[in-house]
Amino acid sequence: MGLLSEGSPLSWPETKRLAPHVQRHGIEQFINQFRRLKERRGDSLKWGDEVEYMVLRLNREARTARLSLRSPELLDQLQATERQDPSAAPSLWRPEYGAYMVEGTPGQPYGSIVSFFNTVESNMRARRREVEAILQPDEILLSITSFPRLGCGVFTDPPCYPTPTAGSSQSLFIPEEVIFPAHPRFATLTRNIRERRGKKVAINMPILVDERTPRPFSRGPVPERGLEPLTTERFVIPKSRYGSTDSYISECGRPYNDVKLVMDEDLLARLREGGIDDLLAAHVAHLFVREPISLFSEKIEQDDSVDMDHFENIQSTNWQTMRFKPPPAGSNIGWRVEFRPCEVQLTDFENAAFVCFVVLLTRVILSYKLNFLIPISKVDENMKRAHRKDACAA
Amino acid sequence: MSGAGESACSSRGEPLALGEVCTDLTMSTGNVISMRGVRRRAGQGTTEEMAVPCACYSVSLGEEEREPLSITVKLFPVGLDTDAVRQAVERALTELSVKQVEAIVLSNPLPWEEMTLDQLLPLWRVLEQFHAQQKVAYLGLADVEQSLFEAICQCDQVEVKPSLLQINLTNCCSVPDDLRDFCRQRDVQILTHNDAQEVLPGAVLRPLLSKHLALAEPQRWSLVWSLRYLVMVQHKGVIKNKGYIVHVARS
Repeated sequence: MGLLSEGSPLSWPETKRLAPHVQRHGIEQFINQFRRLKERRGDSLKWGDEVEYMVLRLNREARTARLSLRSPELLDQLQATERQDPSAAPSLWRPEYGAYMVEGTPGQPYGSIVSFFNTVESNMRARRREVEAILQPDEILLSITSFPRLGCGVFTDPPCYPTPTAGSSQSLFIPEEVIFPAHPRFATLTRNIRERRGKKVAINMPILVDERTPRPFSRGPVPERGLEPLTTERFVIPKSRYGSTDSYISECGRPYNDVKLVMDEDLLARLREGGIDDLLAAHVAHLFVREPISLFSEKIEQDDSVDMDHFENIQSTNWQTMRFKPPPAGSNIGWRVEFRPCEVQLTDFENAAFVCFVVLLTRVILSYKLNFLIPISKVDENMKRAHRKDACAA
Repeated sequence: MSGAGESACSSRGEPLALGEVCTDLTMSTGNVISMRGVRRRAGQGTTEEMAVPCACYSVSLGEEEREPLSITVKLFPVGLDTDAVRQAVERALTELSVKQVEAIVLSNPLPWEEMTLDQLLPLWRVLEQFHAQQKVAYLGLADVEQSLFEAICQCDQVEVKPSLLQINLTNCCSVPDDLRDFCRQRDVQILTHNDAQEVLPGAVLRPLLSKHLALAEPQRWSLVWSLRYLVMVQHKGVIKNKGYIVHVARS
């Protein structure tokens, strides 16, 4: 889950007009935060995990399973302890995109001693039980990546219907009510992504298209999406916001950076001037070719010496497999790395196994000084391969 | 490797000749984390890691190490000899050139069910003396029966209570609930390990000795104590240095 700023969302044209403002100030905020923290050393290792769940309602007589759109009220209950005393909460709960989803993390991060590995699975079990305890009798909680019947007829409870000509997604398949309603971020992201593209997000299965029949989409002037030479936009970005990471930022990764990064040269120059090393500066300047896709009127003017919202705005709408995170403004949290390529698994056992494995692997690499780096272009290739059916066997 | 007060270094060349005056011998693996060949066997098991011949090494942590480190020493005495325990601890401190280690864990030298409190106490007192001299911060025990562990924790004669308990989970897969509760109440950390009951059996040790040392009567030599040290970067979970020291003597 990304940045959840409170306030009134701006329209896409307004957001678009303010994009250079957000990008410029986001970079200043990053530089200031980096300067404040670059000498910070000797922190102990802390780590944790995030698991996303979805709530389903089963109707045993009708033999149906539908997404139960109750996450706003469930979250209200789940967050009750945290609201009173954040340090006493056994788990922390956050909304996710779907109104049928909740996202849970441990109440406190795990520490460096080995015995924490023994607690991960039981912590995940406890989290699952915490939600299950407040479900209605015919509801169940699953940790699966996507609901198999998403977009197929009536798949929600209460039953909702798509509105192809109204709402934020104007989807042919997904009703507006499926988007988490209690925070404007999600619907705003959806609307602005659609308006920015000048086209709905289309993830259609291959179908036979009759070229002579008029198509129902794309009426009116079509903004540039990089298919033809640009006239008003500045960049052609070869990959989507969702994708594998494009560069290594550590010194030992330098020789393996074989992919040319699309970068905003002015922002890059400003980062270098601000004392950021070339690898990190290139990474940030690359993230910042993206425009903000949601902006709140109350958050336009910020104090770059303390706020981080503009930086987080761009950072948290780049959904890459790895994320390097500066500490949030005004907290005692340290630098963080988010490892994001793993799909959520069905059971707590499997999820705990993945989480422990990743953390242990990092310790082994550091202890034995192993070098597993491969050219970043090969990482891209591997990620593409991994998406195939039966990828392991292929 | 050092024998009878002399220091020597065995490389992969000729076996080292020892004179008749040599009655005991301390051998050290050096840092098994950083050595080629050994690295491939690291983590397989204690016996495998100890049985790898290696070239010269340097383990002294010296002054240049800036990061705060945390050192744990696990002792594997062969019998109930208190001198062996004392010697082993001293040797670990010397080997690593440090004044203090974080924790010392004493592995039960006897079969699980045979060890009694009366047999354990003299060994424990040796460790308490090191604690009193501020050479170790925490003490622990490995592979003792639950009743014995509870007894030593509750014993009035014991001043420094165990802070660590290591359990071998080869044959069972979970810690009994009452033991878990007992440890939680006393702030004892429970850890699991996979060290064998006999970490360096004679069948492994003697061929190794004969291979690297020209001994007159190899069958008269046997293990007195061994230990493993583990140097971690504090609060990072990263291993800096890990090695074994083995002490053998001629009967």
